[in-house]
Amino acid sequence: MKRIRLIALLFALCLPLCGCMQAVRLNNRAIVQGIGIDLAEDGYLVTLQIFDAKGGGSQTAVDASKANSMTLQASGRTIAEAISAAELKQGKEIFYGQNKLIVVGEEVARQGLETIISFFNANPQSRPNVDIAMADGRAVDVMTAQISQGVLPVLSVKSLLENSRTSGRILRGQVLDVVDAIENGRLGTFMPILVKSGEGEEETVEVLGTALYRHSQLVGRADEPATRGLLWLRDDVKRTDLVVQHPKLGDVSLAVVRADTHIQPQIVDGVPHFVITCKTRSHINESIVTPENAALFQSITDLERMETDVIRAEMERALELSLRDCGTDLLELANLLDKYQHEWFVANCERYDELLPQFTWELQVSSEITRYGLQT
Amino acid sequence: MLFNRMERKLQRSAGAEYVKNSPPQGDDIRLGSDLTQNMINIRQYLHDTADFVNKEVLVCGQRVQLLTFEGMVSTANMTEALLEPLLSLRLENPTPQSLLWWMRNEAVLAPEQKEVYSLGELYKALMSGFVGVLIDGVDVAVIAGIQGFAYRSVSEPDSEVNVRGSREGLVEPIRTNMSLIRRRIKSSRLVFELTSAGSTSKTDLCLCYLANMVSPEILEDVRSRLARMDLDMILDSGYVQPFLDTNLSSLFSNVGVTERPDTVAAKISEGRVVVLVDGTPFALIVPYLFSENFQTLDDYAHRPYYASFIRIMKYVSFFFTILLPGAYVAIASFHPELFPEALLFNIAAAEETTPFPLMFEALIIHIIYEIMREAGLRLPRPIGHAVGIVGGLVIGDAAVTAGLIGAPMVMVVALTAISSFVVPSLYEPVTILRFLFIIVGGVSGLYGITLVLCIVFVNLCAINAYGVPATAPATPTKLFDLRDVLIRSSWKTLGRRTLRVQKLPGSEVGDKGGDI
Amino acid sequence: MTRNTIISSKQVVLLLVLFRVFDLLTFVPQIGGRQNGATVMLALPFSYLLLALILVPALLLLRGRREGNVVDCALALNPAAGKVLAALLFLFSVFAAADTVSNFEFLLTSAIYPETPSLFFVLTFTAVCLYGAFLGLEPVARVNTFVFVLFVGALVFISASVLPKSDFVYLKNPLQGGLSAVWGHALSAAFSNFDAVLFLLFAPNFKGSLSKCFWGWALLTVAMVEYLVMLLTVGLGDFAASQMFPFYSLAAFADLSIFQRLDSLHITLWTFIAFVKVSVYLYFASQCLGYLVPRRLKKTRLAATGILTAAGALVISSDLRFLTAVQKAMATGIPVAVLAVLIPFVLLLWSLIARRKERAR
Repeated sequence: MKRIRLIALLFALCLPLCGCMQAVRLNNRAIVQGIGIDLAEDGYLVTLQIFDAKGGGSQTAVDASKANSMTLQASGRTIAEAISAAELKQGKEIFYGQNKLIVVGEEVARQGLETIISFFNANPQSRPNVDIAMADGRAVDVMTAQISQGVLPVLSVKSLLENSRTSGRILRGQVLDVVDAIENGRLGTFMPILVKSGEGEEETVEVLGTALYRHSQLVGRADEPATRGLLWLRDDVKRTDLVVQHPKLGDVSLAVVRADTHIQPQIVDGVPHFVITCKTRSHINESIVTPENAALFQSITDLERMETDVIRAEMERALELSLRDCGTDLLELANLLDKYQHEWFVANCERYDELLPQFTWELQVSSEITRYGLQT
Repeated sequence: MLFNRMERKLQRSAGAEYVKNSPPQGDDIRLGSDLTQNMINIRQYLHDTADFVNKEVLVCGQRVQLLTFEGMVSTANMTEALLEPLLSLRLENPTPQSLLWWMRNEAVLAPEQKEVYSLGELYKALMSGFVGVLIDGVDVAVIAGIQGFAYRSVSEPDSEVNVRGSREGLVEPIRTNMSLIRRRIKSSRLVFELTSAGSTSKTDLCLCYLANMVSPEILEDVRSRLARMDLDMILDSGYVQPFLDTNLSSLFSNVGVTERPDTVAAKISEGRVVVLVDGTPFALIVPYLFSENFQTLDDYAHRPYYASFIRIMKYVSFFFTILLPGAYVAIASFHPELFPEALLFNIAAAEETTPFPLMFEALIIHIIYEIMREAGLRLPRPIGHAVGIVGGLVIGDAAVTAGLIGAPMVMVVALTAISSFVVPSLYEPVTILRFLFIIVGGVSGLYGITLVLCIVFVNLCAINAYGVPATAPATPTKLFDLRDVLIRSSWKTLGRRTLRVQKLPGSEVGDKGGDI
Repeated sequence: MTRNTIISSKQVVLLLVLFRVFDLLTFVPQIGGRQNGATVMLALPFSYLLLALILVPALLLLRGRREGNVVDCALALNPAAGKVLAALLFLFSVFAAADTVSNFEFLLTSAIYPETPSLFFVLTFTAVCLYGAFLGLEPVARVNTFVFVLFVGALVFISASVLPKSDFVYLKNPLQGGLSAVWGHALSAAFSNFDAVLFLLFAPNFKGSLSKCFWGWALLTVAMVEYLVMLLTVGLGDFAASQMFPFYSLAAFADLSIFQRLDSLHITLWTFIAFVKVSVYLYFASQCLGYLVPRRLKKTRLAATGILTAAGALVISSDLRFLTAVQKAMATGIPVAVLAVLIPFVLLLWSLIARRKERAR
């Protein structure tokens, strides 16, 4: 009896606590999959791509052949205010814990990313490894593109970024990288540039290149070769294809299956000098043989040399663009100097940005073709 | 009628004023030498019950009464083993004493033949299927065990089915169960200690243990608990179980139940005490550890890798069945970021058309499931099948089509229900915990679920079954003793050292298990 | 109720290790600028060597009286001194419990449930921990074994997803700041290690050698914490400096196949560890209070301890400044210096003098 009274008392005490935490039904949540940020008159214009199931029947389902999304726009002095305003427009609680992509308009990027990144960094719903990209123009254009592939347009864009990254085409940026650069104070950051292309049913989103930032300010763009150069330098190439032109064999396509890059900092005459070694391993993907029928195996050394030249050219281009033209450290050279040349770093860290264009480097690239495909 | 005739005979033969005796008070009344008076006492005490049968015969000129209850003895065996020898007996000097002497020393009326001196002992024996023999002029009754009552034959236990292993299960008569165990442990150290409980039912209980393995402290504890039982009727082992349970405030019992004699034998060999209850095929095992709920005899018939896989799956099933619905409700209501987006979209789409919040959906559907499960259990088998089909239709199809519940919830219920049958011995606490977690998850998310898990874990870890931690050997940990907990090691490892429950880590019981 | 006073030394080690890990998993106020992760890693083993040194008087004191704790030693010398020490240890335990509850609640309301009032978490959590304390040290220690296994499993999971993306350039030369930085960290870590006081309170509750238990605790803690610090440093890099709850951010960042946002896994684990820690502190607080009030009033003692803890937690977590102030107070090292070093040293001297006087008689 005593136990029953105790359990009843505990139950009675717990009842008032039930109202402390508000459960929200999923159909009362606007599940945001993508956020676009542009400048507005009074602050920011936020474009939200929200999941909206378009399946039919009494059993509501997700029909992948339809665009299960709804786009919502709202403005405010801050991102938080704009998102609150968005809630008023549709009545559901905005939920961006599942947000996949943040697209920043070009104007916002030029202004600087600190103000907008703080919202995503401080907010518990947001994840630090959410993809971030810059729109070529306005973010709203990218967010409203009606891509017919996939459940939601934003998910198609995210797949595009993931696949492109795997094929060594783009530098993927995340919130984490932007915050890292801002916290470090010396590093730069980057993100892919997205642009809407096509009309009507052919509408799609493409990757134009890579936006380069000094700390959090947009300072330049990298085209595809420079982007890949940065990938080589950052040791981020998992797999990529490149084409070399052999005088006798013609265009030969090589699949790089492994790449290892190491950067060793040195101080030469008081100036940081970096020895960059890159070793790659490739397979022959495709070779178009000319009527002269030159033997492929006899030309392997040539092909390797040509491959080395292509890679070196891309790396040179990336280094020139990032260090000299844009004056941004995208390769975490500051961290390397801090670790391996600490004395120099401590003495010069205040003038780091100033000294960056003076850095020198030496590229040591070697390529090896190890497999030749199934064609004899 | 016989009783009335005897009474009138007494009145006539006595001459003197015959005073009708009042019924004897209490079971300790000693038997007298006067057969007629004994019979009067017995009749009066039994309130002239219709199933009491007695027959007076003359054996070597001595009056002998044969007493039994209808349907309790084997008539053929009684005739062959008792009547024929008695009726064909020729004694040189026939007196009541010489007849008794013959029965004591020269006759083998039954494998179990004893003498009783009190009415209480006589009643108990008669009600246990013995035949009582009263001799006029002797204050002793001879009882012979010629049981022949109807009972269910030894068959496969319904509640514990094994793929390999014996198909024999315990049955209702306690003595048959004793023989089933004795056949499996042919050791001189195997002891069966008979006692009885229940002031009215006087049910036989039997303590089974190995004298060289059991801890005397545990045995004494069991005995004292059984002695403290104060019940009128004991019809099932479930009546005895709470008295053996050392921690009634916990959801988990530290008394095991089994219907298999091979399991009983295995537990006895580990130093445990098993209590058999007459009239029920379920034996009680003390002390019982939590990890034993996940062990079956099949584990020892399979190869170690497969047995380990199945064992791990059982643990996973246990956690599934208590946590899955609650976690699903908690995550969907409070932490939807945890779902992969494809799953989240499906759940969100399903919730568009359902009227109830997920917590209520989960509660409703689980209550319906429990109703149908219970109904299916109680109904006769042909109708029980129909209930299963209706249930499947109601829950599986109609409710989803009608938009009452979402399709993902049906999957959750199905997986939960199936998982609960993987560990049937924990069905009771699992059912309650499941509902508790659904409510807590719906009210306070993963935080609430974690808090309740903390309470459940610490409650489980606080159980000391007869001085042995219920969570041993997982915690307190002893690596070697973990050889048969999460995984099942090979026989080479298992056979290296016999497990004795009182020697488990954290045990407060003395590990002296010598002959007692 | 079970007899719950004796646990194994392995259980004590696991308890203390997880308590130390809890400090890492929780609020890390950015005091005094960014710290070099490698320097912290190098300083840690030295901090335990230092701890071993400063605990020598206490261990010598307890070795002679294995069945009692420091309070029993003090009571044997002077009842009033014993009661004062019991009161101090009671306040210390309540303070540590309140600090833990407030840290716990602060993370929950910052990261997971921002709209839920603090009172809800403080009350419910304290109540559950009181239940744990009521059941006793042994069941809580047994739960801790499960929690430890769970923690190791979660760590493996998070490591598997974070390590491939890690950048080891953030592991710098630990002597970059000079030996003084290492020494400073070691000193600070040793004297802000509240668990040292707890270790002394555990003394009568476990079997086995005190020194072996200490070294087991030191070795396992160093291994665990070194690994965690390394993981945080290389996994998050400079991003960690912007996070109030670095490990929580690491778990949020980790993903493996379909498993994403392991931060909720972290919360579950963290709740378990917090439960064990607070229950143990409440238990010892209640035990210390038992020297001041009649021992039979067990439920009353626990209730009083719980109310004080809840009240303290509510005050501390009401403002980030209070939370930071508490951390600073712990970092001064005064509580450990007094309770684990000074008082046992004084008691040891006192007992030696008393013994000598007795022999002289």
